[in-house]
Amino acid sequence: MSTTQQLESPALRRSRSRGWRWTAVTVAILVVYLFPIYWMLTASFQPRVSSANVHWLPSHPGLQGYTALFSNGGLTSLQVSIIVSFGSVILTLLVAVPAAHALSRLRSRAVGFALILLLLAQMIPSIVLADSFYAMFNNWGVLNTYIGLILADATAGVPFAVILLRSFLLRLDTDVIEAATLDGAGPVGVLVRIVIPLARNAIITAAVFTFLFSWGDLLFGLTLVTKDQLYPVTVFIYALTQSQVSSWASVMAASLIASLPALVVILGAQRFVKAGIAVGGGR
Amino acid sequence: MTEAPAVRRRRSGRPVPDRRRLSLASRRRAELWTFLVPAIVFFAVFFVYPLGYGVYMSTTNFTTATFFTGQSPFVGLANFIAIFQDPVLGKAIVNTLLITVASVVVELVVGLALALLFNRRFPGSRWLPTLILLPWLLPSVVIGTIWKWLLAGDGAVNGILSSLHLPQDTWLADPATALGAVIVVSIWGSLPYWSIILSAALKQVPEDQLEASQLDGADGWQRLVHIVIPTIWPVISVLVVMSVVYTLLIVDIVLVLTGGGPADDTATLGLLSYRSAFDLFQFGDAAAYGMLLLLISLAFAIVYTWLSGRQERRAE
Repeated sequence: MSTTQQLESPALRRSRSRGWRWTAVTVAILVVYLFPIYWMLTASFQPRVSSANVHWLPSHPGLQGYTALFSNGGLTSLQVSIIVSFGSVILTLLVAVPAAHALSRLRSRAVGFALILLLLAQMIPSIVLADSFYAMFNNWGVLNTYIGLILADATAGVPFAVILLRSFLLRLDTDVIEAATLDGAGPVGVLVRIVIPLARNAIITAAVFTFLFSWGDLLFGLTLVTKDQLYPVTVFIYALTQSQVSSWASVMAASLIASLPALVVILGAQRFVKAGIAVGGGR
Repeated sequence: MTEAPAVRRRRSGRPVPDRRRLSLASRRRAELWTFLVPAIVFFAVFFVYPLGYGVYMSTTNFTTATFFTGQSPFVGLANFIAIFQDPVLGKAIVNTLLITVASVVVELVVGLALALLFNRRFPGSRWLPTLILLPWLLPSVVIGTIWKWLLAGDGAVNGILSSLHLPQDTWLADPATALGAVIVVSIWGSLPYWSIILSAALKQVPEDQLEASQLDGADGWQRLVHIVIPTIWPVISVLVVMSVVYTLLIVDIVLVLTGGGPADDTATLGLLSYRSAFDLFQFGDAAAYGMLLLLISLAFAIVYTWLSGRQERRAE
């Protein structure tokens, strides 16, 4: 790619000797910028400390913030979040993978129209959907259910996943698909045995982002669930902050646990993040 | 292998008026359309229907009672008249616009500065900049909660200010600073996305043009304005429109930080819609606010689709 060419250019080679200076600047910016996240981490290990007295490094570290959480219903909410997030990832992929495959192979004016609809769908305010979902789900009897939350959360995942997967599938070599078809593979066979394995990385990217959307959702959890046994972890944290906060260590511990998927992704799956934001994973 | 002749004929590229082949092609097309069925159903049930339902609710007196009686009397435009007569609407529109304009301007300027830094080659330049994305990936409730505490009267921000002998404040409770604090937090969450997207775009700036203009005596600022920004303009324009839409819809961060207070000083349009529906159970009003929000974001969405379509056409 063009980056390797840039490496060869003399101006850049000269500037590389001064490179460590820019490393220092970047690290300094990161330290300041990510300070709030460090504060959350260190505070979560300092139970029984009033918020004015939190130390930069815990002098008497303790896990009471975490244990208090688990006796408070935090564990249940974590379970809800995990079920709902995985559920909406599965639903999103079941809907989006075949659709993206079809949209990448069909030659029709309808394809362009469908893409515009998908872009528009990404921009519909969640609060508008939430208002209607509450009334709709009430009629269908799926308020306060896993399935209701999974369906609502998938509205963020599906349009994004279709757009991402289609743009990847367009670049696939169609000869392989032709060959498989002529060997007698049915449409489902082609999708399952050829397209999905070839598109594995794009599918993982779509899954990672859908997971993060669902995991981080506050609005649907807040509106479509009224029983606290079914609060996802985001609503659990929101509920904690709405009452008089007695233990910030506990709130920060819950926030840290809610941040774990983001931390795992940024430390372990950077390339999927980069692939995802390249096609507009904003939200 | 019985179909081998068919391959040869197709590869030759000549159209073959063969009935069997035609039916094969159309059958395959039909199969592909079948793959679209789940998506079409999903789209109809979870986007089209809720929007229609929203329009319907906005013209009826839809309250909690409706859930028991199933009745929501048609009231025409009364909900819209009611929300327009409420002085809080003007406040919310001003707040929403202030948050949006301030966030997008700061994100563009600071994001571009960060992108220029990240685009340099230095030890760690491949993976260090990506770490800044962490705040963007956090759930918004976590962003709101951390900052709510940092900005509290006895929070860390005041702690740092007091050790520097600077004036302190209860940032989120003071009408003079609450909106500014909300803007700062909203920027903290989305700036990383800008910096990473812009630094990816900067890689497309032609190196030889930069060097040529350097030889012509152009300074860094002139190169930025005349070469760098024009090259990445398509990316900037899409980013601006996209962020405007997302910031206009801001609900969750405000909800966590201030709940719209003090005295509605940080209320946004999205927040009013949430409040009408889920605090006051006036679903008709909520839907009316929602329609207003939808109109605004739809206008920007159309601009966005047009811009990104233009970008795609240019790329092809």
